[in-house]
Amino acid sequence: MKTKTLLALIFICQFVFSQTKNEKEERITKSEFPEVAIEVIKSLPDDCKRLKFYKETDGEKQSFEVKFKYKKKRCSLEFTKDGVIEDLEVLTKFKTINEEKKSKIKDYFRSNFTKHKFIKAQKQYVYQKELDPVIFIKNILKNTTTEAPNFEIIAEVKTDKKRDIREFTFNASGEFVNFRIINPTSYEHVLY
Amino acid sequence: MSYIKILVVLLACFSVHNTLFSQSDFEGLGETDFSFNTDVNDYYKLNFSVRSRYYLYQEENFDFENRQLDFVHFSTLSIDHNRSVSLGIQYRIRESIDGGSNELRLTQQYNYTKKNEALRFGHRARLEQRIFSDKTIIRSRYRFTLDFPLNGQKLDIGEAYIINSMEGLLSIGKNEKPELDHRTTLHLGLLVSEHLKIQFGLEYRFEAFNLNTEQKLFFLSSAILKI
Repeated sequence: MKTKTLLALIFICQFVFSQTKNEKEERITKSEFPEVAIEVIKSLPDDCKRLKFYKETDGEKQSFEVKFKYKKKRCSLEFTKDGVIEDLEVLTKFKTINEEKKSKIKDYFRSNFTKHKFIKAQKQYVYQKELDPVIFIKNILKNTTTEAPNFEIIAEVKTDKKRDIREFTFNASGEFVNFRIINPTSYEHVLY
Repeated sequence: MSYIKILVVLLACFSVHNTLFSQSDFEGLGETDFSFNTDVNDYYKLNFSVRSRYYLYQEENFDFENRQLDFVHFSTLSIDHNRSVSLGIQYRIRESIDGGSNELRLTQQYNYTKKNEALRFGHRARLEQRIFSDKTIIRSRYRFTLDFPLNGQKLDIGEAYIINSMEGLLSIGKNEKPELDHRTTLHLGLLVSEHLKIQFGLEYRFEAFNLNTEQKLFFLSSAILKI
């Protein structure tokens, strides 16, 4: 009896092991970061606190991210595999977004989904190649940038019968750009 | 680094209990659990589990002895991504194993979680009706849980995670004094694949600490299959 149960378990495990996805986010040390990126990080203002380094792998694509707190604001700076800045994201409260843009974003949710609930909002400053990376970051952190940010909004949305959590991107004027569905596994690793 | 700090604090909490091992009302038990979870749709989830409990240490002796077998079902309706209500039914077979009373248990549950970067806080409130052959006990319980992946902010396949929880329980029955229990649990889990999680844990229970305290240490192991 016991051997049968064991065999059944081994069988189930094998079936289960074969379906591993190649998607991973891991915490790394500063030294594992691309060298070019380390130079940029060194130039961050001194009062950037709690620097944490992450590496993300999604199939063939690799990217790096450093998260920190600056003047109580949570920031996340993303780099490509080669250490070129992709964007700087600053956590924000949905209600603090400019009225005009906010109402445009709200209208989008109202007209496309039967129900929605905001989970997280971020301002996304996309890096342009011709900019000096150090000045780009400094201007954003010191609030002196002339660039208008995009908005990245994570929300739970409901269409007819489906419900999922998605990450939406809205451009600087509050118009919808795209979305991706967020895999909920990380949200439910315990409980029933 | 901060996770290591949290771990040290938790270990310190557990080591406080060490001094209590010497007492004779101490029992060591084990619990093994197989769970199957399945999503019927985005709103409705089902859980089935089989759980066995056995004595490992009692009356100052190490000794393996089966105690009970539970068959559990939970139906969960999620209100949104972080709130849910569940109904549960459980049957416990004990009479033919160690002579105790069998039990039918009905559970109503509300669960709320809040995520803060990697940390997730969980609040669970439960109301249970424990129907024994000679009495019925109403039990209310509240559990606070803190869980987080050990690497990064998101739990990926192949990564481990920690779950800590504290739970307070109040049992009320006719012709019986109200009983208060407290449980502290520490779990180490591994997300083996999209469909399988394995967890090992320790649970320390203070049972009826307002009447005549019994202390129990549980060694927990579980396999959770998601289909």
